[in-house]
Amino acid sequence: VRELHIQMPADIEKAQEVEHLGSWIYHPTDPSLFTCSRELCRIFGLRENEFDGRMESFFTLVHPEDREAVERAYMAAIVDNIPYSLEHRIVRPDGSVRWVHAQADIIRDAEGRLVQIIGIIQDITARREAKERVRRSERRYHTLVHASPVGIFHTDAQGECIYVNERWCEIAGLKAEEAYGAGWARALHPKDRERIATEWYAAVREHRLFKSVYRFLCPDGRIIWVYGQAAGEESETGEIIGYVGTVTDITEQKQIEQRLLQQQGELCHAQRLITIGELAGVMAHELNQPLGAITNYLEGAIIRYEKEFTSNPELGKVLEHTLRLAEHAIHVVRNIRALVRKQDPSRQGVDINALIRETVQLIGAEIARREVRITLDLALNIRPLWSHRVYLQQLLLNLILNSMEAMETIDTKNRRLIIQTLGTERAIEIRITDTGVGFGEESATRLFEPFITTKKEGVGLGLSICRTIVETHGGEILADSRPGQGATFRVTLPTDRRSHERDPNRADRFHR
Amino acid sequence: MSATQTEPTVFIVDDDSEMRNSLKWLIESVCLPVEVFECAEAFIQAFNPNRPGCLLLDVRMPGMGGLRLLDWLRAQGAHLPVIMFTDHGDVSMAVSAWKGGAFHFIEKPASRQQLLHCIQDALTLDRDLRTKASKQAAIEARLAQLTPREREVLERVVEGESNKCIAMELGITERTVEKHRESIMEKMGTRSLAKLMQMIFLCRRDG
Repeated sequence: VRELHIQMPADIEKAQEVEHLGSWIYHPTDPSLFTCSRELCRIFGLRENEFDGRMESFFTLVHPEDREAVERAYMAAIVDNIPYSLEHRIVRPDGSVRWVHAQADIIRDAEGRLVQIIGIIQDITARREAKERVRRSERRYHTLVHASPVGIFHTDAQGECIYVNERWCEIAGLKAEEAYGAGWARALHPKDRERIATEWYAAVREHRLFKSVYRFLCPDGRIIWVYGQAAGEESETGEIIGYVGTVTDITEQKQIEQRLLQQQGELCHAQRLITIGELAGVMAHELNQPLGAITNYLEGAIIRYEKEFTSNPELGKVLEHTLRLAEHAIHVVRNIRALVRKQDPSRQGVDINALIRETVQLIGAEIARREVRITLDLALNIRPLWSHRVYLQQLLLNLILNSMEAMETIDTKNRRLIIQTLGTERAIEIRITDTGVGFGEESATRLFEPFITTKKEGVGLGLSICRTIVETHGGEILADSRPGQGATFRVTLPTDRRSHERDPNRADRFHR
Repeated sequence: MSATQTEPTVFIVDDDSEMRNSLKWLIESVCLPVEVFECAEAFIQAFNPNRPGCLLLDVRMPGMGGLRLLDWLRAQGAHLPVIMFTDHGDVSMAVSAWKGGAFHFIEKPASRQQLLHCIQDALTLDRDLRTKASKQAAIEARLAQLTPREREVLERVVEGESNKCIAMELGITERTVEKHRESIMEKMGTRSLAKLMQMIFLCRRDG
């Protein structure tokens, strides 16, 4: 029996096994003298007794798609002396595919005749897979970094920028080259630079994530608000070798936030004015009548008893003086009213549906805190109201808050608020329905009077203000409720521009 | 026309009792009779168009309200001068009061001089209107005594036509025209043509 395997020292054999590297020797003059190492058989998945000693046995295991390349290389080596070295796949008898690196030396005699071919074949499957993994991971990294909606930057330990992604450049309005080194700091808004530096160093010192909201000032003058985060990049030994961070463009959010804040501010301002106006109106009305009566009585008395004053001049003086004081008081009341009336904002066309949505959004936090479910049921194609926008918003706000407060003692799962709008030819009706404690018929008539309240902190002007606002628009407000069964407030406002002038006869009915 | 002889009265309609009574006190102190009502409806119930005077009316009142009462008076053909009380700076109300034919409007609370002046003016206006109305009534009564033919002649006389013209137009003699004129003068209670013309124009102006 011919020896099929190359005889080799045990240590070499062991080395081949560890490196998954097999070898073979071929004698072209006598193909039957083909020998190979045991490791080669293992690489090809052949068991001890499956190897028949023929070179073809290996060749048939070359992956069909690689066979031509292998043949060509082999021929090129023999004919043209081109070194044989290539990576190709093999298919083991069990069907599994492996990658191998095959190399061979062609040994010739002095006349150039082929004497022997010595080849090695190494299983490189693991290496290739590792490479493939790296390649995939790199591709993923690139995809992530490029397609990412956040700006990404990478600096060295000194804070010199070594990388920014495209999105970062977009946000900052700088080119990548401009950002490298210390250039990236130029993107920071000058007013935020010092604060960011302080926060950054504090984060680095305390080994925590840097998180902050700040501004980029683009070269074109745009201001971009960003939410930035950054973390230290540590080496294996735990020292900081750089920083990686992200920036997210939050300009839009910030604008919404600022608009909300501004609206809240405006609303607060309007609210104060409206409250003062209501108070002044109520006071002026209540004081005018008695003050008027006082002056009438005094003047009548002065005329009637003029003769008495010659014998009693002090009485005349006192009456005249009292009259002056009463007139002064009338004057003061009048001035306060005039002052308040001057603050009236101008009217404009108002889309009531949009205003309702905006108002609900404005107090979204309060609605959430009170765990009230709000349903909007708004009519389509509603006509605009010729109106004071802030007044209307105040009206909505007062009614919504009033309804929410009425639901304070109700189980949270039953707290519901429905805001409806209905359009008719000449008017808009707004209905606000709650599931609160409600009120009786008696309260319903006094509800809109000033200084009527059931709340501990209330002054009782909220609904009185509502009535004043509605009447200013030539409209009507009604409340409908039964105790314990919630309440519905109905506001009717005319859309006809002319009817916005106060209807005096209708106002009469409410005014006292 | 006995009603015109009654003393002019200041009527006050105001739902606020203090305001009502204090105004009464003030106006009575200048020796004018005052009658007060707490609402428009009460005033309407007591209203007698023959009673002279003026009306102080509060715009803002429960129920019918001041402006509607004003409308009602005008619809009745009553010329009673109305002074309206409006709230200070309530321009739309003041405009409505003017349009409704108010004699004057006063912002509350009013000063004595302003109020009393206004009342005097209103009473003067009312007196003039009533004097004119009674004169017109007297003339109308005399005109009613004319025969149809006399009316035809009178119309032409007023137009300034000569007796000759009138005679030709009506197909009668000049003498007959003269007779008619004499009868007209007698019935109208005057001997002067100028006076006759004045009487006719006084009636016509208010058609």
